[in-house]
Amino acid sequence: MENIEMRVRVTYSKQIPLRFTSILDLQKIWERSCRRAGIPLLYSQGFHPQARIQQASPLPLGFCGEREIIDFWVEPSPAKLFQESSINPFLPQGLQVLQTEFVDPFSKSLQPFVDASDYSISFFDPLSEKDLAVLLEKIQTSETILFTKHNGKQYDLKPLIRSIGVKTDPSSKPSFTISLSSSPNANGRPDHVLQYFHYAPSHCLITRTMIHFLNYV
Amino acid sequence: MKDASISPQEINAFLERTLFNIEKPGRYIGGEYNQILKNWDSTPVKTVLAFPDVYEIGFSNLGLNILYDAVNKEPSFLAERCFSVWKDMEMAMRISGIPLFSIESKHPVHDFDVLGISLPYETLYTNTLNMLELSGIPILRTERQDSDPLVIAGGHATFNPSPMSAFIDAFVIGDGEHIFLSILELVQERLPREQLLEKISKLESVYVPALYDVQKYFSGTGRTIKKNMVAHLPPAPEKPLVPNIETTHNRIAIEVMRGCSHGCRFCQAGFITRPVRERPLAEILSALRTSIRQTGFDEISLLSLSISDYSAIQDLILNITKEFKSLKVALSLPSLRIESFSEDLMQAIDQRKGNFTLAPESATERVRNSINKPIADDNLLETASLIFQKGWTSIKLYFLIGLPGETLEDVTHIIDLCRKVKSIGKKYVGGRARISVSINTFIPKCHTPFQWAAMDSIENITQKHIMLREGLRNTGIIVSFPSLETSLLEGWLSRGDEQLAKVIHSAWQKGARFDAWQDQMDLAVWKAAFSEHGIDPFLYSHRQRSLEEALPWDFIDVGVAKSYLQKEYRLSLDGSLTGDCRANCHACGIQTSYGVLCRNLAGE
Repeated sequence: MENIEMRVRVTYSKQIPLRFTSILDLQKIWERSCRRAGIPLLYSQGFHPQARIQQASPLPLGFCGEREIIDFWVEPSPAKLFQESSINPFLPQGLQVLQTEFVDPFSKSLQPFVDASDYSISFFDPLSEKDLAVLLEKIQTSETILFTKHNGKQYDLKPLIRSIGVKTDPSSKPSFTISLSSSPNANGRPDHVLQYFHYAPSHCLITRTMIHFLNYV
Repeated sequence: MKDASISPQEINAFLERTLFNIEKPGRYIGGEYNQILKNWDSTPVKTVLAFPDVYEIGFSNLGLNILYDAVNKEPSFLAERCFSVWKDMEMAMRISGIPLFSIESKHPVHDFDVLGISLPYETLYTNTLNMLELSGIPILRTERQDSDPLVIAGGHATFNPSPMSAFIDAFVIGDGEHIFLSILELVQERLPREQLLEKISKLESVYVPALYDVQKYFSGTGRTIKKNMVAHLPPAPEKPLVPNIETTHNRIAIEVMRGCSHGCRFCQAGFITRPVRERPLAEILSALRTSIRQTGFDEISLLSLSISDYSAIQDLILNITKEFKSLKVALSLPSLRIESFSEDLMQAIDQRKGNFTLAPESATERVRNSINKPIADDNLLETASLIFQKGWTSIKLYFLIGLPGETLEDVTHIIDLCRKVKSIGKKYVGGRARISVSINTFIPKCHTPFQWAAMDSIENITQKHIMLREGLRNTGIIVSFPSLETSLLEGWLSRGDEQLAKVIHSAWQKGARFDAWQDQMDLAVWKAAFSEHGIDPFLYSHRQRSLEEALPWDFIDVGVAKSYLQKEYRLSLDGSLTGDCRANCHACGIQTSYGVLCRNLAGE
């Protein structure tokens, strides 16, 4: 049977100008950008048709993302292929498509396969390498790192930490890197780790650098 | 109190550290698609356009968007925007000594040459004062120096400029597009403030309180300030801004016509925006094509005081449906006049989405005649039947209570009428029929035939609210009552005089902010402010004026003669009607005042 729909997997970056744009608002931004670009998105059936867009592991408000992943279902339209050159001129500041690839429109959604996320954290008042090393040690030696959510439930971040480190780059100030489980059942947030050690998330810029998937077929 | 020398870099640094803990941070960022960011250093005249409420409310304001487009088209001028900041942000800014800033370049408002404030309604007054203070601009115009921005206001509330005349350097009355640019040309001459104001005061339609002697007008020797009227609507903005966060109107809004020919006696907009000017059909369609391409919005809103009066309404809707349906662009219509509703019009509207809004205003023929909005009950019910038969399931009805001469019996008819509409809905669409009713309190406004009328008493309004609540209980009809307190405040301010400036100032000092928000407005603060100055607010809202009384806004000439308003007021008392003036001119004064023939402006 001839495909009547195409699914495009898009890798994109979400930078500072859109740092405080929520995932719902971002969905609208994508829809409008596609309409401007003339890329025909497919819509769900029903009384309130919604554009068929699936974001893998939505980014929390205030975070930037270097390589975010999102799937779009589009009408097969060779004239307006969903690719970097056709969409980027129509995106608002802070959003850039880095890569597109066609995937099987009927394959499973990405979200359940998200396994871990890597983050880079830079402090607005930069910490010295020594301070960063202290923080690193504190995280490594803590038995538990507890965080209380809005609903009063506590969760322990310690088992969710896959790796931590300090990135030193001669061209910029040292930053802190952390990889956390971000599966649907155990989603670790780097701002919660920082809060446990009394570093206010408002004093740093958190960027997700990579999302890792597990056994995606 | 503010250090106006703070740089955009410092403001950006403040934002990146603060926004994480602020409610709806997207309000303060800007960077929207189609935002215009001109070179700060090389553009001679810098304007910041302000809307004194939060970003989501002000973003879609039509006046602000028209000016943003018009000013930025001029190579020598730039326009940026700023909005009121919410209370959490205000506190953070005050703690850090950060002044109010534009959302484009993040320059402090004080660094601009001109601050242009949009004042569509009176409940924005305290927010305006707060914006001035947060900008480090002296609140009182008499205290401003050459180094302070020129503060200009426009919008419907400024048709009675007196209450705000202590705070605003110049009011632009009426259609502001061209005059605003003329003011900026004068600003470019870099004259001392007094000389600049002197020149601005010579422009027609501009009221400069420092140089206008209101007493001279009332003694019969002063000129009036005549509203500006553009014969042709300015081109719709080609690249409307697209917000990055949810705003109150996420759609393309195109002004289809300005003005209204019906003369409903309570409607201020209907009188102050005369005469009717239509945008040609081809121009609307062309603007929509461009806007959809430039914005990617999925909804179009046709703006007009009475959309079904647009000469080519059927063609317009048919064309929109035909051309934009494949793009999945929806059409939203404002309230439709019941008498101009037709089956053909309904047929043309292809989508069966959303509400149909009808505004009978009152439920009895007597009151409808007195307000000059005659609609027979049968006509309304037939229209409701038609709406449900054609597949819509939801109707919204607007009513006004407290209209002059209205009795409790008139109000009981609202209950009966709503129940009848509900049962019609049930007949055609069963349980899916949804009726929502909005009950608003009538506030007499300046420049209308009811400008002399008293507002209904609080006791009466309260009793009417109780009756309506009781009568519509368990009917499945959703009823909403905008707060009586907000209406009272609007009643106190809208027909105010210069004395009110000190009350507004005191109310702001006592913490009044966001008075248009029901959950934020505190009437006790306002009562205390009135009492501090020994002024009875009810003299503004609940006093019947004599037709001969000099009114604080008489020196503003909207083109409609005062004698015509007096005649209309008298007609309202006997329930006599004045028909649509497109069919038969009633000599309201517009044609002679502007030397135009209304029929030449409408339906080109």
